Amino acid sequence: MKFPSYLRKIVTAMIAFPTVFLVFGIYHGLMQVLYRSGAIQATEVAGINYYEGLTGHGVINAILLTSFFATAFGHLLIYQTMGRIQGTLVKISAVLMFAGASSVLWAIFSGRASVLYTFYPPLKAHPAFYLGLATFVVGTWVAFWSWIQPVRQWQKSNPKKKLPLATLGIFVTFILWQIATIPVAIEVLALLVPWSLGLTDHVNVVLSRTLFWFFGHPLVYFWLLPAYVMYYNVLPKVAGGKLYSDFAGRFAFLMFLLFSSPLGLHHQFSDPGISSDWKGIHTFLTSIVALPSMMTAFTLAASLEYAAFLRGGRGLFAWWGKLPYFEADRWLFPYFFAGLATFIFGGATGVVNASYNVNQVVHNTSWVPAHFHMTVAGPVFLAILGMSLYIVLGINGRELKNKKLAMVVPYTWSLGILIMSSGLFLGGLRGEPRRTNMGMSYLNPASPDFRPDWVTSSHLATVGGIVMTIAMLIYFYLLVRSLLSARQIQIAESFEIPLSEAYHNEDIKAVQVLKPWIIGAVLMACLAYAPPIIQILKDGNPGGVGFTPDSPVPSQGVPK
Amino acid sequence: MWQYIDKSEKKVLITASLVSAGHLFLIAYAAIFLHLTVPTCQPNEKLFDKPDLRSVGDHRYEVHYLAKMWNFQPKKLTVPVGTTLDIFLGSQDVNHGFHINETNVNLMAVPGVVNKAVHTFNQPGVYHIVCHEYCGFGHQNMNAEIEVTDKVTLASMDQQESISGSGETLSEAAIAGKVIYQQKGCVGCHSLDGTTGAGPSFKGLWGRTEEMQDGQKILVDQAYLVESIKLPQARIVKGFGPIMPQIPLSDEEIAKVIEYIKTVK
Repeated sequence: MKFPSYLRKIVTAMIAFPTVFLVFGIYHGLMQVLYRSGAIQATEVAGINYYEGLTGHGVINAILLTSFFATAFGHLLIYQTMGRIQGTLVKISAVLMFAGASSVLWAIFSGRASVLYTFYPPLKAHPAFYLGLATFVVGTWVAFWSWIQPVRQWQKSNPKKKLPLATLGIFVTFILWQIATIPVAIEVLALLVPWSLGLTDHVNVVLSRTLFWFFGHPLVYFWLLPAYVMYYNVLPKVAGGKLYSDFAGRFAFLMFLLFSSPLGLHHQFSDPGISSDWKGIHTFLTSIVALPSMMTAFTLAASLEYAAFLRGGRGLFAWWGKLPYFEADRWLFPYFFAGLATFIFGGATGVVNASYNVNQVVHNTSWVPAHFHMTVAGPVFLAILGMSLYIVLGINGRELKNKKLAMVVPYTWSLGILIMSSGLFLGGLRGEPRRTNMGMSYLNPASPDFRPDWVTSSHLATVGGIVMTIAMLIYFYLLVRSLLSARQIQIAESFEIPLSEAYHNEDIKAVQVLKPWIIGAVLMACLAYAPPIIQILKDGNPGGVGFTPDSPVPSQGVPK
Repeated sequence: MWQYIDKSEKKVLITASLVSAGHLFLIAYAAIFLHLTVPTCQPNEKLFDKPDLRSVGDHRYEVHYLAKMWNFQPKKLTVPVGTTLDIFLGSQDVNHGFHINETNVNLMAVPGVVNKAVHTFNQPGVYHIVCHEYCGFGHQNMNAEIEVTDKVTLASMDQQESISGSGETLSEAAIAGKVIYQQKGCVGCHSLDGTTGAGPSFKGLWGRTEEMQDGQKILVDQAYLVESIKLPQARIVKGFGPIMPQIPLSDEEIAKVIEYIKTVK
């Protein structure tokens, strides 16, 4: 497949830019486990405050890297399957995304936005942070708009055909994103920007938190769904088989579209100002996500079994031994497989957080980052790493040097995650808080706040963090080493994303039309959020005046 | 559509639905019959700006916790075994967290709204309260404790140690300085008990010789403290970051704070 030159360049830049900043994201991941276990007892290292670094870690790893990747991956998929894309919009979107990201990064690394990636007011950041985020998000919208016309056109010229599953998957991901980013755009543009510029004195804190989580949970699916696109379409192919069921994939994506927004209150179980009845309703809606999740677990296992069958695997369990766990020709396989293994724990522990009263035991403890590192830093991040390597090298005509070493990365990383998260889980159950520079107090033996019961767990997390860092050092080495090799034109010209065929290729109309599902998703989101938001507005909130993180004295106007 | 779906997939959908339904049933059962629930709106609850403790029945008390950057008031509460506390939580500045470790009391403190939980303390011991929501650079120092003993009867809030510190009698200026120390947030970074926070502890600070980042040794006297409060970045004590903000205080207020610092031994 020959991709146009501008598209290659934009896709390469969209992956390279966050990957460069990922070096910092990983560095501060390591620093955090050191601070948290008391190995470092300081407010800052090398001029970077713990919380400034933590903000960078969250924004770079969870927002910039994931969104840039999803957009770049989507561009390639749309061009590959639809045969075209709207180039002008692609370029405008790239400009907006790079400008927005640069503004956000400037605000963070000049110390003007140490507010973490959830940026809850009344902690106040520099306007460049909020405006940068808004610009970046609008950039992702424009990227999505560049796909609409090619998809419509394709459907018109192929009235009898189903939209390819990969196309449907990435398309649905961005429809979901388009719907879910509207509340956060309102939060940022209507509430936070005027307040940060000094045009308003107060900000409604409960409303801001609610609008943030209206967006925050679909954000999780925006991370996850590009990985699902790869699991359903790329994994069966690299495993050497076929996707077990085309229906399952469509069903899963559309169910996620329907049920990813109307459940964000499950992040606010401990919040005041929101009725417990609506928290309960959102708990119920959350549990419905079990359907597409279980469907995916089954379908992926069935697809792997089929691949193993073709390779001679038989029996009830013996076929697991026949999968290509370590074959140089199928080096992408471990990136998916190791991620899925951690995902089992990530999913199961997420059930705890989402379970209403059970959440009270672990809310905001280190249990929470333990859980989401087994989802976003496990399956999602590994799929992004593997596919980024595949795309950046392939599209630029480079060969992956040392494929064996490349396969060591995902296994080492997953091992590190398992160790780190075990530490965070154990600590969380004993009350260890998340997002806290514990080396300054709780993990400092000289402090009266010292908590001996948190020593073992935080040290376990440190061991895990070190293992993860080693995996990433190998990854960065391989990426640079391979990029420095000679360009081979035939690799660049034959590059394409491997897409699998379906074993059961059902023709079920309900999962082939998009419109009813989109209308349903918007309706569900409105129905589930209108009553709590109306009640929040009715209660009123005298609001927060605004504080920069370094001072208990209110900050008026634009923070310096 | 159902008839076209693969047989195994139907089984998956049915199993997942049943498991979810069972799970939801257990959650609802615990909420309705065991009263294990989550915080809800307190529309009739007035906002408060100071901590409070009052009796509302036999072995039952209402306590108002105030969260601010970066401390809880009361810092330490001592209650007899078997006490039920109606805990009301308010914030005066940003969002804070309030988790009584090893219990199900887990609340967010959000400015402009009051949060509430009820807990009965049946086991004697020290219960740690940790702020678990990021609230600024002093977040890691923000905690409190509830001591549950089988000896005491509950003291009123005036008699509870609302903030850690010695019980000795202070001069009028020092008391005024203590109030400033609490209200302007000095307490978030400068402890009274020797704990290293984001800034040096006030314990024994007066008259001590401190080493600066550039190796210079300085005696902590009136002039040094006035300079440190007025121009926090002028000289930084070794081992700390240049993070102290300029707190708008009058010369008179600064003098009071220094009177207070002198008493913290």
